[in-house]
Amino acid sequence: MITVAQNENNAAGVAPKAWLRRLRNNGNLLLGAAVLILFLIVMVLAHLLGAADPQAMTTSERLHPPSLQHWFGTDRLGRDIYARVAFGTSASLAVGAAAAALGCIIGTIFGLAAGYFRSIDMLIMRVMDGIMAIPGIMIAIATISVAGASITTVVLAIAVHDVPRIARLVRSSVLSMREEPYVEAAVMLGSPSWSIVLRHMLPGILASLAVLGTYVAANAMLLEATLSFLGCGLPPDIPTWGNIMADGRILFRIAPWIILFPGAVLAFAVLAINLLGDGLRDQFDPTTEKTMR
Amino acid sequence: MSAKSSFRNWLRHSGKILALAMLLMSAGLPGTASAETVLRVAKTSIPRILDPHFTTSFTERDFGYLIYDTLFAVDSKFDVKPQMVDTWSVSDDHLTYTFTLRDGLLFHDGQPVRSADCIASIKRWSQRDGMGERLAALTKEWVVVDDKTFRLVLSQPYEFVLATLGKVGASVPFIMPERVAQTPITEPIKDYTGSGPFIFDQAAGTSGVKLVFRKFDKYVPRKEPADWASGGKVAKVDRLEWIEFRDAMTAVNALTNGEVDMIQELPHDLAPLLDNDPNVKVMIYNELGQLGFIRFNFLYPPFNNADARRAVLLAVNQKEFLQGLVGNPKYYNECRSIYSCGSPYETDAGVPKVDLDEAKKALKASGYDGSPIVQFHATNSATIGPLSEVLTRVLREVGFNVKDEAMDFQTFTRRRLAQSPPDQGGWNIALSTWTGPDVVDPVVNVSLGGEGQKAQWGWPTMPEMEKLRDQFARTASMDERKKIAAEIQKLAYDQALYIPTGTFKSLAAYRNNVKGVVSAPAMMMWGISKE
Amino acid sequence: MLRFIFYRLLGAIPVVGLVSIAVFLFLRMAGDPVASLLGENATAQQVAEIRHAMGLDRPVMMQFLSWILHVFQGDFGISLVTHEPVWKMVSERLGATLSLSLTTIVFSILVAVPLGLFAARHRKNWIDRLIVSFCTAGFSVPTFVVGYLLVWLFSIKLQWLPAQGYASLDRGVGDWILHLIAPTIAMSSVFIVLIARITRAGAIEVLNEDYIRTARAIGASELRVFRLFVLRNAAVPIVTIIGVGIGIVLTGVVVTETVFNLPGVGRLTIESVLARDFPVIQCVIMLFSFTYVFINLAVDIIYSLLDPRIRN
Repeated sequence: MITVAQNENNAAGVAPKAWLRRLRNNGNLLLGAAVLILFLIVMVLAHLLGAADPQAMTTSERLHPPSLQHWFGTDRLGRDIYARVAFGTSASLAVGAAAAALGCIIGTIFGLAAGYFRSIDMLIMRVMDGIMAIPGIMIAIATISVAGASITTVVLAIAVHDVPRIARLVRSSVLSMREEPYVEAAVMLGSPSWSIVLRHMLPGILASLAVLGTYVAANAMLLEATLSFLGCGLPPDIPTWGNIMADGRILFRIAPWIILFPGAVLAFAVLAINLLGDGLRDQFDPTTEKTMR
Repeated sequence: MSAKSSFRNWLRHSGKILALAMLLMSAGLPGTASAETVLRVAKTSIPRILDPHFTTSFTERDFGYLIYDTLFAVDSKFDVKPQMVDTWSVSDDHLTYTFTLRDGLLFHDGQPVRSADCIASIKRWSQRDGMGERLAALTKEWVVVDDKTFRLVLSQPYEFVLATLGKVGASVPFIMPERVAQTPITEPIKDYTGSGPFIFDQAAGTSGVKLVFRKFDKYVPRKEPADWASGGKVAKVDRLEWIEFRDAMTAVNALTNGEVDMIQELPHDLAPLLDNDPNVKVMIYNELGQLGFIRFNFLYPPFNNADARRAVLLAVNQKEFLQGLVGNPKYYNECRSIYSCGSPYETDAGVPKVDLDEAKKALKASGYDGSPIVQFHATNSATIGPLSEVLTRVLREVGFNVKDEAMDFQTFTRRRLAQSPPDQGGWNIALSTWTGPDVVDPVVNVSLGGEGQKAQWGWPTMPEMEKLRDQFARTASMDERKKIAAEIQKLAYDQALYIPTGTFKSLAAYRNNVKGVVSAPAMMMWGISKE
Repeated sequence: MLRFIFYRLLGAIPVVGLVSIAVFLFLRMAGDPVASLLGENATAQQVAEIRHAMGLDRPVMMQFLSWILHVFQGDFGISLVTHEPVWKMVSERLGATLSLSLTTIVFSILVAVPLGLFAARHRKNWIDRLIVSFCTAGFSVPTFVVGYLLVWLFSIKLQWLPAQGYASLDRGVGDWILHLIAPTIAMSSVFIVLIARITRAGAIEVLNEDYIRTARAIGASELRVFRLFVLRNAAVPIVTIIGVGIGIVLTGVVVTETVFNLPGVGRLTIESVLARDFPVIQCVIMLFSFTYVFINLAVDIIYSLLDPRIRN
């Protein structure tokens, strides 16, 4: 449903000045990017300054409410929630980014193949339909329970779910691009398939991939938190936002800060990425207003 | 009155009316407005396999105590008392035990309990249980004298016959009808006819959601007052429901709202929420409590080396573990005795002093090369999860390179049995929990076993330990036994066999209209009434 | 029309087949369930006996064929954990999940469609922006956080609603609804956002059409314009999103049922996965996937009824 692909060539073709002007007026993009940069700064600072060790346990200070000493309070093992959330930024963002990247790469490969090589189109798209038919969370939980919980498996498990969506998008873009004169010309000139796909088609879909990729990243971060909440996420010694919340799960009425702070931070990050996605879409494709992901 | 507040009032009133309707409906089906008392108990998990011989889980045992009875039973002083047995005697050579059953014992289907039922049940049970296996190995034969009298003939004297038959730690030798007890131990039973104070009403519940029990009217309780698993078991509610709550918070909310009457296994951190609730009481239901223990894999480096194990032992400060898990000192006590504190064999023999520097020295002496060690970590267990996190921290402090492998509890219980090398699916170190009664003496405490690959997961080979345990099992005098028990503990600590991480008491909570909840090592539901 | 339905049905078959194979193979890879089934003291012989009894010692292809044949007869096998028929366990849990999904879809549409239309009508002013930001925010908060906040507010502070559990319909409609209110709101938060956004987008597109301008020009009231044209035309994408969203609903039940202790299929899924109860997991995934496929099938058919151009 995202139809930015056709306009991408226009976007690249317009004068840089107009593009910049549009960027200035693109509140979503700027705000989203600003919040994300803020998160990156926090992440770097947390590692550089090391305000507090996210793993340090002071069991005598367990379940302390937020104070000047512990901005976000402490958990049941007396660990500083602020330090954990700050350090968790890297893990959580990394999971989101990695899942999105992986999903995009695999999805693009399948999408290109299905769109370009019509002989395997049917097979690939039925497989994609099959994956899509299984709820994402089921794929993820089942994968993790089979392969064990590590960063690799969690990222993979989350990415699998998004592959069909990306493949569909890429395939439909490729199908419409096949009819374009420059692709037809390349075919007639006898360029090899891989060169047509890589040189002429891939650049045409990058913009829409970037937009969809941000949404995928946002979803991946939410899914990671949900998996940790259900007890099948990343290993507990990695302080992701999801893991921190999982620690406080049964303590919600006793120590709500364990869930609320990471929850709020997660919501902000996801919101920022979603805004970034909306902004990217507006930036690449100012004429249409599509709101579906 | 503003529109908004009147809406709120409307909501509140309609909510109350609905709640009232709900109450009326839940009180019984329309028409049967008889005063059937229903006790709804929230549990973290309700058993899936309903065969207490088949598995060793604690909920399974609690299930067993509801619908089955035992030949003997332990009271709160650890004395073994006859339960289904009326009188018993032992021959002078300590080889022949004769048991006579009480009058009026009936199974739920109305059939009397016979000697053959008891023998078949004990035989089935003993194939899976450690103490059962020990007894079976020493048994020459079981003899039916008549319907109510039977005899056990041993091949050599054994002082733990009654203790074995009255065992309270899982699994418990419950008595089933002979036809049920003939089910091979490899498959769970499907017929839940028992002779205990409650009848299991399978059709009324839903597997994995709710189990329903009804009072067994024809149960004949003993005359003595109930004391732990022994004495007169009187069911005082007509219907008992076990409802599963995976999330303890939700259970607490339900108790506060009166949607359940009682919570078993209340997490300590949630106790303050209920302490302030005038409608609810919080109690310690298991004084002996549970205890964490750290287990080493003796088959592979570094923990095939006593110095490496000692390095961990010297760094384990129980207070850190207990603080991290429990918080409130009211609910825990440090206990470095390998026999549960409060039990007759409790001792401080051989207990070393905690000293991080000494620990680091020991690690150096062990020649540990810094290669990663695998720690198994059951994350979804409310007790093992946090304790394992503290252990990871301690190990890293001593200087181990820890690889924390997270898994759920079910997987944990399976994978810790793997004897493969740690980099091929095996492990180096793991933390698990016992309940107090599981470790009251050297025979019951299977973590002390040194039979190599046949021992408990960890597989230590310690022939001298086995010799001491065997000697203990044949000794009749209490003083002698205590001496041997202390010697065993000394050896265990000297070799850093395993490390206890302290005892924490189990909490339960119930609404004020529930009466008669008593402290016991298992959740005993008899004697509990609801007003 | 019938032709269209026929071909759509035909298209669903390979999907269903692929899901079945994938589900079967995937969970076979999970390793041997027997060891965990028998516990610590099992001997090699006991393991072999159980493996044989369960057919785990046969070739994988044979296992698959016998499994799928039984599935067609409604026999999903025996649970490795409870030793009960799988279908009995799953069907006992269907009530709660169906109820929750139904109330969620109805509630979401009731809230989201007016919300989206309202935003579209006030496009480019602050009402629209408020609704749009609310929607983006709604997408960003994890369902379980919403759930816990709802329980805390409505069950603990205000004491209006039960904190947990499910009352089946035969205990009365009032009781049933009362138990479903909070879970429904928690689960709807994402779904509302999705439908509201798509409704708004659809409505804006329609509002730009010439015939709407004409209708306005000839003096039709705003309400009439909305009722006659906008809602009708926006219905197509709304129906589509329900098809896509059913996946989100199915994901939502897993989390929501855990938070509110509802005895539904979602909770059964988590329990079975943690216990490695293959037959149950297989049955549940098949059930969820088939639901997804057939809802989407139904959506396509409704879609083609609403918009005849699709059929060609």
